[in-house]
Amino acid sequence: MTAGMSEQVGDAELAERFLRDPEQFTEVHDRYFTTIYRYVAGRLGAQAAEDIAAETFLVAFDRRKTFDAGRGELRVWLFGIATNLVARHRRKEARHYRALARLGVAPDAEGHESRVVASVAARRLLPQLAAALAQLSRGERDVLLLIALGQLAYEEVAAALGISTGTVGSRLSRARKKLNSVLAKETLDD
Amino acid sequence: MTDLQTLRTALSTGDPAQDVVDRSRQRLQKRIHGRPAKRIWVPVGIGMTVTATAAAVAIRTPSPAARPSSAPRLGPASTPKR
Repeated sequence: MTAGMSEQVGDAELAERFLRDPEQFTEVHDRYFTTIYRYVAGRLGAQAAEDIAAETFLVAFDRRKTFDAGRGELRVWLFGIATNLVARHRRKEARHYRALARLGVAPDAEGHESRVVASVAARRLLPQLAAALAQLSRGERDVLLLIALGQLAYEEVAAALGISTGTVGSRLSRARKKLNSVLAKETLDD
Repeated sequence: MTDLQTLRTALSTGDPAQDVVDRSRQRLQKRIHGRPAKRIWVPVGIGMTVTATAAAVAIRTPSPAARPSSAPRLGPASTPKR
């Protein structure tokens, strides 16, 4: 029996399906493209995100046999692949943060007006945040942004990056300390 | 708003446009349906180039029978008129 289009199967079932029938991998794309795109766009900007988010699914398709549902969700696995692809664009990411820091104005968010209004305070901090992000180590930035943009839990970040949860905790702690010093300074300046 | 929420909001660029999603999906479908362009078309291209070159060489090089001889022809035609 095949599932209808509206039926949402779990990752393990979906993995079984795309291993039997590669065409089923488009379901992975349909479920997670937006999530991965948002994460990459937050790190590299919308223009680069289009290509890298798309490439994430091509790489995932090529490696589909290595996905183990017992070790984590598809979403987490995809975040790991996307993070590795972002790492190949370190210079582009640094340029992106420098540009945001210089710009002083955040790019317009597409969304409901009230949400945009509510985010004005956060966006005002973008230049300082971008400057702080540029100074983090790659490991710190990966952990921080997987949690902040990807909204992954500690265990999920550990699975995505192939590191221990202890390392996730220590990297996040260092990153937040640097970030908070920027935020605290901004508050004091106000 | 926590520091992580602030960061998320500040870096947010919004959802991708539908044409971005569609292009990505099309790329994936091409990969799924397998178009190993490099594996097939590069050897085919090389083969066609070699064939075309060989044909061009064959056309430009006359056969020995058609080639004019460098030796002077004998007989009445070669005898200068007086």
